[in-house]
Amino acid sequence: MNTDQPLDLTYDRSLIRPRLPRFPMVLRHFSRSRTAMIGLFLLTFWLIMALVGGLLAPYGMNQMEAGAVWKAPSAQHVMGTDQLGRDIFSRVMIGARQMVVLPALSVTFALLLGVSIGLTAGYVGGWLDEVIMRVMDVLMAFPIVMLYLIIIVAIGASAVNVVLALGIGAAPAIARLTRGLVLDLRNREFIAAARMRGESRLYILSREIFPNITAPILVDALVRIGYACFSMGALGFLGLGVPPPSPDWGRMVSEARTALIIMPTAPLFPALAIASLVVSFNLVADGMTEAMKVD
Amino acid sequence: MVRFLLKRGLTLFISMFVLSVLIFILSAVMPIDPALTVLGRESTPETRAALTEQLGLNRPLPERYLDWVGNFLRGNWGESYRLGVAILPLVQRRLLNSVVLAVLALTIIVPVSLTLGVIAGLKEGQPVDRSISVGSLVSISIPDFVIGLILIVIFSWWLRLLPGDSSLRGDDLDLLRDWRKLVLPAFTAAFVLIGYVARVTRVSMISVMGSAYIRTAILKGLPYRWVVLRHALRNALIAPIAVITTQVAWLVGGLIVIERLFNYPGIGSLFADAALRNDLPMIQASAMIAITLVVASQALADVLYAVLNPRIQMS
Repeated sequence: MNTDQPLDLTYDRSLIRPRLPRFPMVLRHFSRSRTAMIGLFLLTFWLIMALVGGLLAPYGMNQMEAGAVWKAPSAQHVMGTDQLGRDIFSRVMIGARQMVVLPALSVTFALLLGVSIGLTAGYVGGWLDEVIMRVMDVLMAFPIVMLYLIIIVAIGASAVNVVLALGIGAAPAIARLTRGLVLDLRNREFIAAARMRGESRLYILSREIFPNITAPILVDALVRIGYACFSMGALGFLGLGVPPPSPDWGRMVSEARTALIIMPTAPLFPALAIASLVVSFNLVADGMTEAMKVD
Repeated sequence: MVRFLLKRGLTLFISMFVLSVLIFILSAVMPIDPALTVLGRESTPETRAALTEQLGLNRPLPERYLDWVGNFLRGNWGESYRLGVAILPLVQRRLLNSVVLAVLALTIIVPVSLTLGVIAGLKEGQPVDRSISVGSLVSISIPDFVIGLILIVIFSWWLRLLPGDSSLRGDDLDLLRDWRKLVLPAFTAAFVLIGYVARVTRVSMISVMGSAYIRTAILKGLPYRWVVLRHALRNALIAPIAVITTQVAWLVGGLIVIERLFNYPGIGSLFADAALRNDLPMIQASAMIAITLVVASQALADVLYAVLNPRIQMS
């Protein structure tokens, strides 16, 4: 360090917190990407469905029509009917809400767990870090669908338990990402400056480090919500999702699969709904990552 | 190298220990009464208590854990509560079926994804790259049962080329007789991973092609094809090959769904059936087998990575 000059904290740029990505710039790059805009369009569509799909649905989710079992798509039933004569189109629209809300809640839960674990491990370091990250590695080695199945069998299938299982499954990866980001920051000069100012550990973690890691963590969370939808579909497909009669898309696929020979379109509609929802999350997240790289 | 292997072996052992404890604890808190599962609802509380005693289920947890691990290691896996058959031979047969399916999927994944990734990486930013990138992003976003379903509708229902039901008589797989039943499940299992590995390969290829030694080789006047084949590929393929071996966990999880979709008798569908029917010893045995596979393949990946990339620190 140059000792000839007095240490002037206000003018040394390296001692000031790094600039966060500027949102107008990120937004502009984002809006230029065609795939990102397609993703945003799809995502907006499903978010609106999650809000008002239940009001727009032409039939009730459990409204059965006598003698209308496995009907082909028609003017009355745009996507046909299922094994109980229920309108598939209405069930897809009504099911959008839980398919968006439950994965979002599970990722919120996973963020609470994962970010606090990652912050602690990364900032405190030492043997605590070593132990925590070993356990996280082992948890990440567990085949994720298998982990969900075991958790659901252990605590039972319900909407709340699906959220818990998906959240526990996603937390280790978030913890690992957070820890990596913290390790990257903790030896920077603006942290050392804060430490020299005599700030407390909690202040440094919450006011200096946390704001600098939120952007990558939020983008990652988008991908995670996509994956949570993916996994929730798989759980529903295996019969361990949100219990009937709620319109769980994965369960609708597995129920309609038995009628594939009679009516191949019946499982396709809820299946395509899941796929387009997951694709929309991934396209938006990918567009955000690219846009933030440019800035 | 010896030290590296020893250290890796130790972490392997610790991971297996932690995972086996996890499986044991999770299965111990499951609201399943084994006696009720075995004897059915018509049984009296007395006979159930007697069976619980006989199965040793009222002893303290650590004792039960040691007993369970000991039996597992000695190949003494007990009987299924539901099927009333010995677990070990059943698991062996199902595992073989799953391994055949997984190997088939990998032989599709490796060449296709590496080729796509390398091409996309070399043509960064060009239309070829953009379509491969978007295509692989879409492929990793579509759940496996959706892909499987679409393949069934196209190839089985519409074109009538391949069977959509892969159940085997007596669970026995005869490749000459049953190969048609493996095609759709294998492509389904490959689909998601092709996108993922292609993306990793693309990024790795781009970073290698931008490095100083490649620029030197090109400036030296070596033909472009020679530079790519002899200089770039060697380094660019290290990361994706290591990634493929770590994706065995994903493959195992995917097989649970895919095997159920196609009614294929593998370890994944065995586990799912056991979980749905509360068959505790079967859940434990198939979960242990699956994680052994996963942990072992990850250790293999690390060793492979160290061999491929001599620069890695072995200490």
